[in-house]
Amino acid sequence: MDQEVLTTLKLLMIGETNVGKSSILLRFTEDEFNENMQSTVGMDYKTKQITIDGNTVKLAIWDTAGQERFRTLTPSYYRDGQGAILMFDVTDRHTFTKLETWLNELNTYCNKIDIVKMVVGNKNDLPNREVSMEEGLEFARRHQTLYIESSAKTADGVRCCFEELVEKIIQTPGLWEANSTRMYGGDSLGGTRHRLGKRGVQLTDDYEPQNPYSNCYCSLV
Amino acid sequence: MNNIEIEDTYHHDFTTASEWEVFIARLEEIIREWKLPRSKICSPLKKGDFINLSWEATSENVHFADVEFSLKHINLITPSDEAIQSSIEECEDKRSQCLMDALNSTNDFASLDQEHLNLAKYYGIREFIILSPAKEVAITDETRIKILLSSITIASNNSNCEVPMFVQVQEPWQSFYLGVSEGRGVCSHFDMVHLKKVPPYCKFLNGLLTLFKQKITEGCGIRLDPAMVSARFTYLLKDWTSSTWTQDPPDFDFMHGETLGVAELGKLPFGATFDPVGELILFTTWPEMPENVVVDSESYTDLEPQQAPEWSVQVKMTSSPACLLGEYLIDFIHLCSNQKTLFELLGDFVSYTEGDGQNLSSAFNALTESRVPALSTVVSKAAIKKTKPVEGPISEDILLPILYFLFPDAEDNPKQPYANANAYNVEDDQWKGVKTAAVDSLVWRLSIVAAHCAHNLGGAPALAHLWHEFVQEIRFRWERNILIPGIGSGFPDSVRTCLLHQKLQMLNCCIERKKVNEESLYKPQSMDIDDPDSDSDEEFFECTNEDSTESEDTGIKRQRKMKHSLWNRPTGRLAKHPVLKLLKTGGSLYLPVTQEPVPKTEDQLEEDAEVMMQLGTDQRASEMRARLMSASLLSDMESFKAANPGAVLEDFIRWYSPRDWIEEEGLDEWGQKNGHLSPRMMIPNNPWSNAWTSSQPVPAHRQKRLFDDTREAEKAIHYLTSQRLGQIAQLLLPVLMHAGLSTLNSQKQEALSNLPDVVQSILSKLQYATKPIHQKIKSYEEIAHDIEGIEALVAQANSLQRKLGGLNQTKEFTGFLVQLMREKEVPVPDALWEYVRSRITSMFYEAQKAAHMMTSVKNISDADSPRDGGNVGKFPAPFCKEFILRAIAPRPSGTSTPHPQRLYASLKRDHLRLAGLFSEDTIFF
Repeated sequence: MDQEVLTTLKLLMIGETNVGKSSILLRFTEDEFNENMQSTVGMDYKTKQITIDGNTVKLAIWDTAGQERFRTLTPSYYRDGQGAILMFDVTDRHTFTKLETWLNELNTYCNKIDIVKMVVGNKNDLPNREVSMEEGLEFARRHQTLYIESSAKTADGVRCCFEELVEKIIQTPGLWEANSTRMYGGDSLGGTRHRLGKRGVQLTDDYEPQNPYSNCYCSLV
Repeated sequence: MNNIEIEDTYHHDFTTASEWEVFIARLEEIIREWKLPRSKICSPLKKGDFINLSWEATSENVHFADVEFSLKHINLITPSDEAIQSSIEECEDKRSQCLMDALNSTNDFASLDQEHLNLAKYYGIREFIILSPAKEVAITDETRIKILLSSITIASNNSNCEVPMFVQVQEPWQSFYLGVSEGRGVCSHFDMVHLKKVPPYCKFLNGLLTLFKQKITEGCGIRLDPAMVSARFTYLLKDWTSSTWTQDPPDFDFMHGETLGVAELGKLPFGATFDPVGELILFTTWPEMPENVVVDSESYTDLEPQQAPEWSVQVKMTSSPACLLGEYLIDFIHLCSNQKTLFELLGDFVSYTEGDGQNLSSAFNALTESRVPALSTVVSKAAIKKTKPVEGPISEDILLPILYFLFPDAEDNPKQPYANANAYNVEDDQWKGVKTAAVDSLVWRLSIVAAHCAHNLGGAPALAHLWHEFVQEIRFRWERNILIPGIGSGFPDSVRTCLLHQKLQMLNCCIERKKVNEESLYKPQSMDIDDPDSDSDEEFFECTNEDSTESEDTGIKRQRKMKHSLWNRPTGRLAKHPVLKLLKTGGSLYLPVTQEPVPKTEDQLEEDAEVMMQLGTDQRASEMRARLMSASLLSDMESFKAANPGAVLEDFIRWYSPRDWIEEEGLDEWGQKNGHLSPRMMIPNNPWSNAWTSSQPVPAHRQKRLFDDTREAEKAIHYLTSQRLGQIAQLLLPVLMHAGLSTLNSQKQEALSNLPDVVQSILSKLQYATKPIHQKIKSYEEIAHDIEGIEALVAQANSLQRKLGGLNQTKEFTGFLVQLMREKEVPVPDALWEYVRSRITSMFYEAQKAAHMMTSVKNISDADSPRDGGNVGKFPAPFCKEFILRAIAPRPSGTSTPHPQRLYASLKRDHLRLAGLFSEDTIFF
């Protein structure tokens, strides 16, 4: 049955190379696992529709390459992201320490201040752990993010990771309803032509930020 | 006969009841429904209760024959205070609430302006019922008035209702009421006189007193105790003379010559074009005093305003004081929907832009030739043209200062140079989060100047002209490799700045790259000389060998030349890698010079993302994306190969993606740890190995450019030129709004203590509005109206401060000002008594002087009231004189119980109103 899609959310996947971003994404979208996944060149894009608490949302997931040289390229696609998965490999401390850099980059290039972030410790099925869950949780707490551990191989935590992230985004109304201003088609600046026309999503158009002084000059006197 | 009567009552035969009886019955019914027949006495009113507490009104419609009336009950809601109630009930049980209120002087002269509430002012009563025609008709017929009056008298008698009841008669605008109140052995009549012409004997207190006493003592002739008198004189001030507070719109006609106000150009106007305070009303009040201590007659008066013990002030604000900033912003928003093109607006003036599509370069030539006659030799600075074939909407002598203001580096001695371009930081000021441009940057200035054009210099055509000139200048700078000032270097900041700012940043990037490229052409590097050689060498590329030994083989050429002609000579090296050595040769691994990243503006990023998304999500789409994205990978590989002849993919991976190099135990022949590629890099035909095999050793500077500065610059300039006027306005709007808010924020006004908070709240709206790439005009309209509203308030406060406070900034005065702003009557506080009084007096005096000057020399004798010598002319004749006279006297005969009598009088130039309450004893008469 075709359920009505509430909204489309843009999610970003970032982190060092070879931590398993593409694998997690493949597991999530196709429920497949490939021991030898190709190294992503630049970035890739996948979509998936999921239903949470009766709300169907379409996820547009941007999977980025972790190589440092690609960082001149990929942050352009951070624009308007509503959720970000910051991934590290629990068997490699280096990928964990690098998270700080990724977080900074995200904050620099993402224009949504309240983007929901989730730290994911991947490959938790492997025996040779270098980063404990406590460290991961501590990092997440310090940076006010969600935290989860996963394994693309065993599918452990994969669904849960996306579901929690989406739930959190949905609970932040200003974050996703505001996105409607970015609707395609109604182009007023005339700069770019959007070949997509309308995506199957119509978002409510009248979000107002909560604001204690909405009748500002009444309160002035 | 008895039988019949009894039967009658049994039958309840009302078939013969007249319309009048039905009407009265209905009145009684409503009164009972409202539960008015009660005789509770509430606590006496406190000062200001009439104004501060709220009034409650209930109404019902009643029909008298075919005429519809509305019966209204109006009541002041007082906080019930049981304790006081009972104590009063005991001691003064005899008088009704209405009569007690009529004697209470605490709420004299309260200014109440809602409908019917003037009754409260006339009689001092807190509760009453009004019968008035439901439609706006006048009841002028004496008989009808009498019938209505009798109706309410009967109704109030029958229902035992003490609440005074009134009938509104005469024309509705006259507020003419007659009324009655019965109960506790007293009958009070509420009479009214309303005249257009004031009889001479009523003009002064003495005459009114005589009238009052005559009325009370008629018939009984006993000597009265002195009546109590309250008086209030009202003065109006509308002519502010020297204390006017207005702002003139910036006047560009004065901007000729060298000394023109460049500072003015960068500012948005603020304030009201005419005084936001419409009038000042001064109330001078003499509260209750015995009649024998005051004289007010034609020849002499004690009631001099300056002697009045109480002063209060009320101001009336102008409803729309035409605020400059608000007008600027709103006018500009209106331009956003203008669909005209520049050509439509400017005609031949911009005709050459028509051919922009294919004919750009020839258009440029025409441009630069015609426009830069004298200064073309000076390459280091932009030239602003002195001659023009056609005059545009903005005249030359105004346009030039504007252009110099925008591009100060075009002048030898810039009047207003930009602050250090790279010091601009949109992040670290209070405006964080607003996606516009830095304060006083080029785009900031441009938006302000654009608003000046749109508002003062000719509207849409002027804006089009400015834009045209602006784009010409940008184009000129691109042609001449002159950086655009006030933008700063660096990539377009699509997160923190507006699209126009990004476009200009993009152009600066292009100009910078073009400069670098052209410089490298002029002083060629060694490898550039090689060009023909290396081209011909390409076919030998397959033969890999160490370059150091190779040089010996080609001994025919001179040493220097030999070095150059090497076919396998490494090129495009940036630096030697500190550790890594090439796996196959053992030579040091060199980091290559790579192509610089590609700057993009927000709209381009969106387009890119759109393309990526459109490809779909299947395997093929992923491959397509990988191919699209691999351009930079390929470029890096080629640079790497060029810098490191003999390198293999493993070498590249060790530099580019170290985590895909798995180290093993043991060392290789060059002393490095052994290792191998990660499994994913060894997948046959994976994009990395494919790219590696297909890449040629080409140094970055000879590769196909990932970023074509010429193309990008032309695209950006074309974007700027092809905008319609509305689009131009939309590009500038976010920054203009920001500048407007910043102007508002710079206002200091003590009386508006939460101004910063309000600015903050508008700021959050602005942050929200500026975020999306497609701007929503509606949210800007809201912001503009917010700003305008607050601008009006600030203007009002400033005006009042100037008029009443001068330099007085004390807390007391600020508090006084805040209350005045609410447009209610405010008593002059003791702390400011002398100060405010003298200021108001002198304002009246000034106005009087001015009025006398205008009407030549008119003698004071023309004035309504004579004054003694010292005060001549200080105050005008009162706009309104009000008196309340009170007495307790026996009526209708000398043997009756004394009851309250009261007369309210209001005198204006062409209006006299007397409202009397006269009580009669209904038991002893």
